[in-house]
Parts: sequence; structure tokens; C-alpha cells
Amino acid sequence: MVTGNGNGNHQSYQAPTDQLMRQVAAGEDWAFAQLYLSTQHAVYALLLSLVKNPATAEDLMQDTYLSIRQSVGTYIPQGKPMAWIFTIAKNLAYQELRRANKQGTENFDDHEDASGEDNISQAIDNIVLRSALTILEERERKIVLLHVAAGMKFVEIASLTETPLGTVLSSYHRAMRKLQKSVREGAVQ
Amino acid sequence: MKRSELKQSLKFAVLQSTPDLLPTLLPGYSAEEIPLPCPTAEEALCGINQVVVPRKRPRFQIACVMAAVCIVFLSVFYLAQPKVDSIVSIDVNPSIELTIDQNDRVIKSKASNDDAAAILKNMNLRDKDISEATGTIVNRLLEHGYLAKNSTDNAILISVASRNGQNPTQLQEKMADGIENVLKENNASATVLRQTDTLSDDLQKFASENKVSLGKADLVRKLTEQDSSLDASALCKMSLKDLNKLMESKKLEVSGLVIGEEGDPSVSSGQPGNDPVSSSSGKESSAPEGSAGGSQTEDPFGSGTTSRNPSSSRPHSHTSSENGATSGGQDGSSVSSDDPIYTPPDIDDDMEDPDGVPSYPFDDVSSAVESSSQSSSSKNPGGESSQAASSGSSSSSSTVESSAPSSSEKPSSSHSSSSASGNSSQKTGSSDKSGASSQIASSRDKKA
Repeated sequence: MVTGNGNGNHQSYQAPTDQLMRQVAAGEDWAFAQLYLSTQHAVYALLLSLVKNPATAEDLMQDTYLSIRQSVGTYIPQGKPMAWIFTIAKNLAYQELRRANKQGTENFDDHEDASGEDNISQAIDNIVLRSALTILEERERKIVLLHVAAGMKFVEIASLTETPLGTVLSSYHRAMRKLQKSVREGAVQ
Repeated sequence: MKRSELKQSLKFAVLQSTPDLLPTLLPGYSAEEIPLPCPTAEEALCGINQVVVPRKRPRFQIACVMAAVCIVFLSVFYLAQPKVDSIVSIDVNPSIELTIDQNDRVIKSKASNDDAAAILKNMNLRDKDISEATGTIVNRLLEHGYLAKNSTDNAILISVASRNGQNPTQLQEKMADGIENVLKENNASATVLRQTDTLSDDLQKFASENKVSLGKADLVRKLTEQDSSLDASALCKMSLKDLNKLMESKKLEVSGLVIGEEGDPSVSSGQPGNDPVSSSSGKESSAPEGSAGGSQTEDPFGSGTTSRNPSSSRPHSHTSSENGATSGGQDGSSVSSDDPIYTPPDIDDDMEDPDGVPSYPFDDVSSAVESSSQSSSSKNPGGESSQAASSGSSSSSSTVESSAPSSSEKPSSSHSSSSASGNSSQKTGSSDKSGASSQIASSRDKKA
């Protein structure tokens, strides 16, 4: 497992194009690196919202990009490479969840303790993230993390998750209210 | 914690926990080797530590554009609307007002009374030329019997109230042309009174109160100014033909009123004995009331021609029975042309022509005027009898009846006179006209 403590290759979300996918399929390393840099946060946010465990999400993220590189030749250009990538990530996440259900679920708190590098600011951030992962429903987690962390637009989220835009918006605002309330109550306690 | 802070914390937490798998996925390949521009960490974290300036939505611009579009649409709509240039009115007994644009086309037609409403029913005059519209109206008036076909005993008032006082004469000419064409087709002629109105709120109020057109209201105003003994509301209820006869009998000169004759000249010329009163007053009139005797055989409304003219005897509009001293269709025969006071005769429901059309008492006035003017005082001491009639004695009625030799020739007239004489003592004056007649008669008494 690769421990993610913030990499220096942050790049805001940019939807990959079919041209980039073709170049990845052609074996261009720079194209794959570009694809990774532009989609890493979105993929990680999706996986984290699904499995609720950063360590598991990291493992799944690695598996996802390996799978992408291996099977990019089967990609049929339809103008939606991100949907294809999300499908791979979701399939891997569900496989992991099924396996974890059989063996027992990991806990985010365990991972937090394992990291051991939190300062005060990171602690607050982690509290928020933990609240988001614990109190929000799966759809709300997905929407909030993809929008806030990965920087995706609501329209893109609605398209990728095949959810009506109105539902996405209402879910997002409802989730943010719940999160605010949870963090406020946590701060009081 | 504010929502923005919450978002920043959440984003920072996710970004910080996102693993850097690139070295694992591409061993020996660093991000710096990527040819495409790669944003720095600060750029990637943009929005976290920067104050997010909310994007200014172009609502104001959209509102401005929509307002401009609305203004343009309203302007076009306003400009496309025809502007009212003149209001013309056509009066016989029905009073019709037409609103005319600058191209002399009808914008709107308005019925001032119930008779006019019946005339305008199912009639579309919009965008028609004023001449054509006038012709259509006159044609309908002929069909409904307000104007008599094959007769000269018709009177029409056309009044023009221009917005800026522009070309009233031209409009009058156009209307007169329309009237003349239709009258010629129907072998009729009519006395056409033309006048120019001056619009005022007072006049409009007066017209609406009395349910007449502006033109007729203006004419009545002018008549009452000429002779203060006349009752304006009673005059409004009179048909234009009666007003014309009243003007002739009382020799009232109305300023700005032009009287002419339109229609088939053969009809009017064929009628012997034009109204001496009108001719003597210098007015060109086609009303052949005085020639009633001569035209009786030719005119379908002939016997008692003027008294049975359906043009002024619409049953639904004159159904009131009027009983009083000023009774019968023959009272007028006792009215001297010298007598300045006009006494409207009564209406009797039972008075009907042989053709079923009830007689109209005002018509007899002209014949009375004519007969008195023609026969002067040789036949009838009209002044005395009229005064006696106005005094309200039943004997005066009988005097009128007996003293009118021409009335015995008219069956309906004799009928009316007998019925009137029979009711003369009652003096109910139930209808407006009887009220008017009694009022005028009383004023005459005062004068006397």
C-alpha cells in the first residue's frame, strides 16, 4: 500500500479526451502520466466515497490505474473516457467491498492512527473528512467528494453518476448541511 | 464552521490523503518530464487559500436585454395600432358612432342606443373606408325600415368631430357619397344634415346620458341654445326627421349645420310640392311632407305619408302610448307655421297603418306645418286650435279633429285622432314623448 500524504503533483480536474486515451493506448508514458495527474483526485474521491477507507482507496486507486493501462486498448471512444475510468474504479471498489464484508471492514480511525503525521490543521481536516465518510450516505459522499475534493462540476457529476442534476444539487446541499451540523456538534463535544 | 471553510477542509483532507502513485505506475518517470504543462501544487490547490470571488452572473444584462425587447415590442405594437383621427356619427333614429383613423378607415363602431345596436349586429365595419361603411349602415337602415325606400321622407344627420379639426368637410363628403349611392340604388332620397362637432367632456357626458351619438347631442345642444323652451332630453328621443321638421317648423337656424339632399333626385323631384317651409327658410330639403296628398298613391307609406313613415316608427322604439291634450296625428294640422312653439303629438299604440306599421305622431307635424302653410288660415284656425289643444281640454281635441279636413282622408289618422280624443282627458303622459310634448306645450302656454 502506498501511503498518501499529499503528493506534489496536484492538478485540477480536467476531463480526459479520447485523443489522450488513444495516446495512452499507443503506449505513450507521458500520456498516461497526464491522464493520471488529471484524474487522480476524482478517482480517489470516488473510491474513498465508496469504501470509506483511505488505505483501501489507495490500493484500489493503484489497481484502477493498472487496469486502465492494461485495458485501454479495449476502450471504445465515445467521448466519455472518465465514465469508463469510473466504471473500472467502481467495479474494483465493489469487489473489494464484497471481499471486505466477508473478512470484516477496516476502519478509518485505524488508518488515522497509523498515519501519525497529523498536525492541528490536518486533524481538523481529517475530522471533517471522517464526518463526511461516516454520516453521509453513499450518494451524498460521492457527490460531495467529487465536487469539493476533485473539483468536478455538478453537471459532470450528474452525467458520470447517471443521476438527475436536480437530485445532485439537492443531495449536495443536504449533505453539506448535515456535515456542518455534525462538525459543529463535534466541536461542542 | 462556515460552509466555505468546510469545503476547504474537506478538499485539503482529500488532497492530502491522495496517494502519489505515479512513481509506482511509471517507474523512473517523474512529473517534471511530462511535456504538457503541469500546474504546481499551489495552482492545484487554488480555491483553498484564495478568496473565491463569486462569478458575477449576468442577470442585470439579461434584465436589460429583456426590457429592451419588451420596449421594442410595445413600440411596434403601439405604432401598428391605428390612431383615432375623427369620430363621425350617423343619426336617423339609431345613433351610430364610427371612430376613424387618419386614412378614413373605420377603427371602431359604437351603437349609442338599442336601435343602433340592432343595426350594427353582425356587421363588421373595421378597416372599411368611411364611405363604404356609411353605405353599409344606410343600407341596413333601409332594410330595417328606419329609412323609407322609394321615399323622400328621410333625414340623416352626419356629424364629424375631428381630432385636430382636420378635413371634416372631406369626411362629410365621403359619407354623403356613400349615403347617396345607397339611396339611389333604393330609389330613395333623404335630407342630409351635416355638421362639425366640437368634442368636449360635457358633450360626451350629455350624449352618454341621453344615449345618443355625439352628433345628435351636439345638434340638440345647439337647438336648445336657439330655443330655451325646448327640452333637451325630449329632443334626444326624437328621431332626426322629427328634429328636422321641428327646426323647419320653428325656423331654427343652427350654426354650422348644412342641410342638403342626397339620393335619387327623381324621387324628390317627382314629388310635387316641396316643403314650402323649408324652401322658404332657405334650406334645401327633400322632405316632401307637404306633398303628402300628392304622393299618397305613389308612396308605399303614402296615405298619411309622413305620419306612417316607418323610418321613425320602429315599433320597439316607440311603443309608448301617449295620451294627452296634444293628441293624435292631426294635431299638427292645427299648428300654425307662425306658431313658434312646437307641440309634439302623442303616440297611440293602437295607431297602426293599414300595412301594420304604427303611425308616428311627430310626422304629422310637418304635414301640419305644410297644410297650415299651404292653406294658411283659410281651412283651419290652427293657432287657436293648437292653443286650445295645448290647454288640455278634451273639447280642443275634438276641435282639432274636426278642424283638420285632411285628417279625415287618412284612416289611421282618424283612428288615432279618435283614440287620442277619447283619451285626451286622461293626460297620462306616460311616455317620454308625451312628457316632452306636455313640457313644450306648457312652455308654449307660458309664452302665450
